Amino acid sequence: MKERTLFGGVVAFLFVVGALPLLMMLFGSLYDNGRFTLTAYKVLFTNTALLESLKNSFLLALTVATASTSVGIGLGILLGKSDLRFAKFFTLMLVIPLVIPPYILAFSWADLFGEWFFGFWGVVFVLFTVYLPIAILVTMLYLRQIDPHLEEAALQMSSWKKVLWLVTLPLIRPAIVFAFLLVFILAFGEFSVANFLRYPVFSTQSFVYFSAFYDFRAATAAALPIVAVVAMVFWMQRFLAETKMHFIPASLMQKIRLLKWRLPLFLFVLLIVMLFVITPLSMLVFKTNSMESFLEAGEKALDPLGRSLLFAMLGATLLSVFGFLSAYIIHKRLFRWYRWLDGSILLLFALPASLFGIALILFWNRPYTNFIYATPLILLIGYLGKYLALTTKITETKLVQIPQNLMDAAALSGASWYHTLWYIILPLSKEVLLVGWVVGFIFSLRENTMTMLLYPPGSDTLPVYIFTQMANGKASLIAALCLIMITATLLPLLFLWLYNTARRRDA
Amino acid sequence: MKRVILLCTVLMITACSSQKEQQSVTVYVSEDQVFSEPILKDFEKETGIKVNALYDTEESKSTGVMNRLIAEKNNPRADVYWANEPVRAEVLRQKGILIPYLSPNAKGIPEVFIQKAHYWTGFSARVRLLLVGEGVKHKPDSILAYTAKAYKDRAVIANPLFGTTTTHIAALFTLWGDTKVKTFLEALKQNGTAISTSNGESADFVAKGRYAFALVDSDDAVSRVHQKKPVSIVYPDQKKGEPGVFVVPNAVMMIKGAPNPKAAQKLIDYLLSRETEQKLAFADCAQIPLHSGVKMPQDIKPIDQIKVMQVDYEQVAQKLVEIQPYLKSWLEQ
Repeated sequence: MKERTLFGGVVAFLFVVGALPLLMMLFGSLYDNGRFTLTAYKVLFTNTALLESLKNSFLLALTVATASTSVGIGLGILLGKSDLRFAKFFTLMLVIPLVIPPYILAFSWADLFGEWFFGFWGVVFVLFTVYLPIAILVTMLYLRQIDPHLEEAALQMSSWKKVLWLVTLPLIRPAIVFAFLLVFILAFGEFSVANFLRYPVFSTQSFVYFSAFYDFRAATAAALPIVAVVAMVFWMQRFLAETKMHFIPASLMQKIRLLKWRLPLFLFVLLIVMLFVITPLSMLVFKTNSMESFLEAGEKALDPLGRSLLFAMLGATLLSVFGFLSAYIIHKRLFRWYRWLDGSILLLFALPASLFGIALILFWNRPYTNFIYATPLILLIGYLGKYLALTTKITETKLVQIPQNLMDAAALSGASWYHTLWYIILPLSKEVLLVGWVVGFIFSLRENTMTMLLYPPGSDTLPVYIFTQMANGKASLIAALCLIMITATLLPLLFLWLYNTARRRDA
Repeated sequence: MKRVILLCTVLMITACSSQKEQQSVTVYVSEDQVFSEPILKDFEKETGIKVNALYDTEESKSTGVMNRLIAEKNNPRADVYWANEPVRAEVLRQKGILIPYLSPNAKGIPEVFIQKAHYWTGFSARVRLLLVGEGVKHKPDSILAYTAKAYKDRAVIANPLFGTTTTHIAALFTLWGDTKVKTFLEALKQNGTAISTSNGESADFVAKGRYAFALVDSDDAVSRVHQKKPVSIVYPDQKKGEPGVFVVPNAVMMIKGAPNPKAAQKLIDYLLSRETEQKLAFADCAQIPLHSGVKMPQDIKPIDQIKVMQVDYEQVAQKLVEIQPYLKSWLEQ
């Protein structure tokens, strides 16, 4: 089979999975009883509550993105470029709020602070702790791209303080821009925290228009500004932050020696970890308050947890496979329009999950596609469309590092594209595929909004089960269920960390 | 690698295959999962019929599964719908999504709670009560207290665009007529009444002393009393000439084209039984049985001791759709 034929098939499949349902929904919103009309879009200009929520979303996203990026860059430099004690452990701890469902954190913080936590600043605080790891990780990633000789030369003339300000920070400017925009988009489309803490935002509107009024045309129209914001942000990012990643080994990086600041900064980071990670988790343990609650939660969670793990494993496998294939197409620029594929994948990631869920219902809910709509396959398709960007981008970071001369040598030896892919690229990408699998697993496992709309009867997942229990369920039981959910989410992360540690030790 | 692919394929087939060997019934549920799930589990245990349930969430204003039923009209997946109020049932009936079924267990339920052509049957009801803070000197005894000067800026009501508050207002429209209700709503607004996101939030506000009273569902009110909050319950409009309490029963119905009609009938019979009503009365939701003589806790009144608002739920459903634009504009004013 020809390379372009196979990968053309992959692109066609991804088009059906992701873009086609959205295009059909957009098309449907323009027609009413077979007539072209823009009446659904009037809602964007006439509904004052909707316009107010749009303003709220902008303000929220801007505040969260500014706070997360400012603090995240500082912490990223501290954790990724200094001789701070237990930096890796701290990094792992700070990632925890990102991988657990955000509404669990909102539930925990609201329980601690009470009524006054509800509203704008409560949402800002929770989302700040959730998205802070993004800014930290992106900064750490870009720090590993800096040529150590540049900093070395600057250090001959100046102190670290000036080198950081005049050399390091300008060199990681793409990281700053990328982290800011990514957090902005995610905060703009966030649904569960704002909903739980009763702050009216724009993304809840599309959910309400569909769920409460069954008006999918208005739901599509209500989501249009989000699509516009996402498209604008990615367009900006393309110009500001498009760089090829070439990482240097961590051992060659110029490390900042903290000297007398080592202990105070260690205590500072410890305090942040205690505040942002340990406190909400402790609140859940405290709230659970008895072994009976745990046992009851364990019994109730057994079936939904089993399904969650199974769906997440299958979702992660699909995400790894298609993430690799998409990254290969984009990296090798197999088609002229590869940028469309790249853009579509990123757009799907940034779109509110509720909107994508609605599009999938409208597209697959037909008698002849019941084998998808009426089974968990609909969830797997949802996970694939929504999170493909994550595994694609993770795989791309590895593909750009594989030397071209390896491929050239293989070609000269008579290897076909298939043999090169199977025997050279795939084995070299093994580790990154594992990382992608774990990321795909975590995000599939924690997904809630889309699953709530799509799950077939009798197939609810644990996040959905917790969400439905939140209406009049016992607080101790909900807290225990949240702890089970967190444990299930963190276990693969822990395995990955142990695997990496063991591998480094062997090396 | 081949083994991994094989394993994944087997897992995917297992995950997506339906269990055809066991009799099953698919039910969509708008009643809170915390109350409905134990009933459905008991049904599974007692009959051996597997229940595949799909539950609603507060976030979709408890209309998510109803809208899913509408979306699935030409491709029905559900056998039974357990609605937490009859207006949703009426909406589905008017859209041609239901088929009639009269359960033998409906005997003894007042006729007002059974659809005339047996498309749906009511059971275990909530009633709309006033939850009043303990410190309030003159306790309100009518929903007209929302317009009284004594309660200016001191009352709260849930968003009338969603849930039982919408249904209650639609019921008032059918009872009082458009002019009187619109005047009432304008006066309510003029009197500085706060709008909360839900009945639960209204109940919390009163429990915390932020407002003097709120019109809420009986389950919200009873749960605050059980939590020993400083509140008391008032059954409003009980005097002669007053409309009475608005009753919101659960409603159960069969879906047209249900894949498992026999199992669906068994589940409907089970939900309409006196035993189920007793279980729901003693659950935290404290729902009032519609069969007379069913055992119930002392902190709620039996249905025959309450003056009930006499409404036609079919008319209420029609009115509800009609008044949506008015309510939206009223809210945004």
